[in-house]
Amino acid sequence: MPRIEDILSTLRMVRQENLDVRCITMGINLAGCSDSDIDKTCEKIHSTIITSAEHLSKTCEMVSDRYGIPVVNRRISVTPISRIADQHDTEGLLKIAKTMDRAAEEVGVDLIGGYSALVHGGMTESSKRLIDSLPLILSSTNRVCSSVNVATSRAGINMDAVKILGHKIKEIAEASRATHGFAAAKLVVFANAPEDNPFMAGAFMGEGSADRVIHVGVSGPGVVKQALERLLENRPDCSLDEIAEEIKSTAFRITRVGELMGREIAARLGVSFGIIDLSLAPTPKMGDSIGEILNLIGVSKIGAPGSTAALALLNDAVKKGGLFASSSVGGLSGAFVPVMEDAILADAVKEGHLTLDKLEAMTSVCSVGLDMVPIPGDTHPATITGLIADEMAIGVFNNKTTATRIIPVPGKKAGELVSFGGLFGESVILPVHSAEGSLPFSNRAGRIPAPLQSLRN
Amino acid sequence: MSKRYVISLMAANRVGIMAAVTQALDDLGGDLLEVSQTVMQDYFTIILAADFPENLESDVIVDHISDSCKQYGVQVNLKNPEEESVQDDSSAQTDHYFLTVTGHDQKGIIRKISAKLSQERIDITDLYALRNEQDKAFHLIMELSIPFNVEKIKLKNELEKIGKLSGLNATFQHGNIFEATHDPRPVRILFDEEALDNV
Repeated sequence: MPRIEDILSTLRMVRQENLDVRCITMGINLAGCSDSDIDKTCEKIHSTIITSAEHLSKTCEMVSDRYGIPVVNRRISVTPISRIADQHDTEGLLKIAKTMDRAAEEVGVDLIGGYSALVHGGMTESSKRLIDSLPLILSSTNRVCSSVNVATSRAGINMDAVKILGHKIKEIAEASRATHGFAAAKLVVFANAPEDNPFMAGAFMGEGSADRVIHVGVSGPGVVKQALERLLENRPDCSLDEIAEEIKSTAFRITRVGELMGREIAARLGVSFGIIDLSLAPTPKMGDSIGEILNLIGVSKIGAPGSTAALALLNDAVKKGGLFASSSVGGLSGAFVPVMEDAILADAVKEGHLTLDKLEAMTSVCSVGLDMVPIPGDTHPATITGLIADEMAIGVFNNKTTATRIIPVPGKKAGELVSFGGLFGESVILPVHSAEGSLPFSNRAGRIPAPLQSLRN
Repeated sequence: MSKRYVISLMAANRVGIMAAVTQALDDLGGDLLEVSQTVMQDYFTIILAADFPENLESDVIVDHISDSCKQYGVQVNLKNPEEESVQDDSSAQTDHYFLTVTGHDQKGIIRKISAKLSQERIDITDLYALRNEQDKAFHLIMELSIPFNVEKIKLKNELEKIGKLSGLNATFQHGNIFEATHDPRPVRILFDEEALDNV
């Protein structure tokens, strides 16, 4: 028998510390579904999704019961739709998106990602049409999520695309005015997008994968928080390296749970096991927050000097623990700072400690980027372009993935509260400083060239 | 030729018991096959299996060990496996699960759970339980060997319900989860994708 303390500590992680598998995402290759006839295309997409994922929910439930660990979300990511829909117009794209929406519902999946385009090197006609359709698609489907990769460290930043997206994000929010611009929360703009990310809204199925693959997203800010609480109870003045060690060993255990369950789900479904994404993804639930961990490390007002360094320590320790636990770590893997989805971060915004500028600095050392950030509804599209460009530059010039999920909340001003409810949370709207001070820059067309790959000091 | 016996010894824990026991076995020409020791609440217990010369009477073995360990007050019990009907289900495929029960101590919980397990013909391969005398906090951990054909989800629900009815938290989980979270060996080694049981 394993040691008694080991058994009880695993049990405590599940029962008291919110340990769960945050998502099981099945990647499905839709490359074979393209057809000049839109109805045939939709039919093929539908049948491919259904046959691939019909047992997904049941299998997740079975394995969840077996180990006593909840699988919170089941999701699907597909081949970027711009590759499938190159022969179709907006009407066709809407039919495809509706088909995805319906198929996801039929297999019991709450979100389906991959209404996506990769445009870092330039835009195909199909990608242009897809980006153009986003306001219509995201406001007229429930489960479809979209992402656009506009930059890579090898290709630089496609500012033409970023410029268009500045406008589109405004239009998407406006098209879902009734839900305070919620449709914009279903679009992620990426630099260096990972092709194996299981987390929404940015998941899509990359080229270099098997036809069907299971990716796992594990989380567990609550487990890390409680581990640190126990450490600090015994050693209140412990050093930062002791904190890093504690986070690392906790991350190891969280990753192991994910890999065990992911491998078993993949084996039972008879599909390949892909990656495990170890991201500390907070939820608005108390005890499930990145902000609380930063509080414990000693940053009581998140946004205060030291916040970036504390987050860097957390992010790095999480990765190191995860990498020792598994050779299949991939995806985004790091700590997320989605403002609306993390009650403590949202509080820091409300109290005025956490500003957009500081948040941007913090995203240079953690996973993703300006995520679930509500800004005033009257923000100029070129200002949104500027925000995206800054975040993309952080990713491109530091060889990491960054992303934005910005919501210009229609009809609301900075300081007003916006709530999406449930796991999407709420926050006060962040002001954008000197908002229109860079319009000529944002309005320039072209590309920001790729950075040096050597002489990196 | 030799003859195998299984012997258990119990005494208040003191330094030197193991040395005395093994010396006694050596005197008797015994050869240890397997031995396991547990210390609990300052008491010491050993269970061992050993091969002895065939002409040696079992009474002689017990008497000699008792004599040799006299100063420790050791109680000796001997069983002859040939005279016992040991259950042999070794051919049936089983999987190892853990049942963990925690909460405020409730009398009779182990009885209720083991009755259920007995009814389902499930072997308890290891067990540890402790009640904290101050705050009455209780935990029980059972390692179970469950035949492949048992419906695990149904059993899980029934066992967890027994816990709930006594106001305790019972959790029934496949054993891999504990190995995965504490054993640094790769998951793919701990987990055999080819041998998945029915859930």
